Amino acid sequence: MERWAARGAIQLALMDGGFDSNSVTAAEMELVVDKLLAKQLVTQKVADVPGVCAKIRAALGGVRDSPSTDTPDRVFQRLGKSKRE
Amino acid sequence: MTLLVVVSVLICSIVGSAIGARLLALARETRQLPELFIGTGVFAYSSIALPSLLIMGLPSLSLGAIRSFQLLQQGANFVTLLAVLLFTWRVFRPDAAWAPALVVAATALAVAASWGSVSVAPQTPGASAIPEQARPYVSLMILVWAVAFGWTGVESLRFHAKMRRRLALGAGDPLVCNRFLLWAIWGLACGALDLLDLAYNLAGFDFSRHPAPLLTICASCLVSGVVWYLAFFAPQSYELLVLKQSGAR
Repeated sequence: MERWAARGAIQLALMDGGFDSNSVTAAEMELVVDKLLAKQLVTQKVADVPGVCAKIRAALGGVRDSPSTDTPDRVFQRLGKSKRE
Repeated sequence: MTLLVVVSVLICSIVGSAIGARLLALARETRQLPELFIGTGVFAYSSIALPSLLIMGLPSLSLGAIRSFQLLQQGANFVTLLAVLLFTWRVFRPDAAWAPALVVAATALAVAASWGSVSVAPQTPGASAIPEQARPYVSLMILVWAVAFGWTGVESLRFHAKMRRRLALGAGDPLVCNRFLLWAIWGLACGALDLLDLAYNLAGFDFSRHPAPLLTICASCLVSGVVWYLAFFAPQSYELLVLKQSGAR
């Protein structure tokens, strides 16, 4: 699979899941790979879809999230922080 | 009608002051700009701009005192507008090149409109009616408000759609998703009410007496009070309802 085609497939899967490539966390990416990327790869007639997904999942294991990225959902999470929490 | 206006303004003022103070306390704790912007905006509007508006309508007040409250109200309104613009830019479009340009342009227009509005002093005690000479500036100010509200509403609605897709995957927090929806409702409702006010101002309505603009004041105050409460200080029963509805889907 071409690199640009792989990037495009991942980008489309992220968009389907409501995520942005610059702020998605490793855990969220795993969810996207498991639930959306496989479908995306099938539509692009990629051979060995489970193998490609397994490779990406393995690569995600070594990714650490940057806690400094402030996204709208993190801001809105903080804004609703109640006294109970 | 006057009683309805007073009650709705007071409700919004009390609820907003408490929530604005809570958001400012949160900003002090987290040291983050979004909390500071939105806390400042909600607090300045609720605890300064709205009470000033009510006080300006008192018949026993001298012209000098009315003038002071007019300046105070304009100042607080400007701070609130700037806070909403900065919040929307910082939270939703921190990397977009056009967003700071929009903030600067809207701020410059708001400064010009505020300056023009306060350059005309109130003529009679007890009347918060807009002097004819100030109407073009008031129209400009209302338009800038509508843009600021509409912008934050559209951005929040866009993010609410993303959050719904995440929830369908089993990621994300239903309460945060609902908070985006509430903020979008607030922005879009206040933006629409501002466009109504713009039409009333262009038609030459007396904002202190005509029922139509008085109704929009009531509506915007009630929408603001309810949305701020549910979005930023929701009771447990509301949170449980949102979680239950999310689970049912």
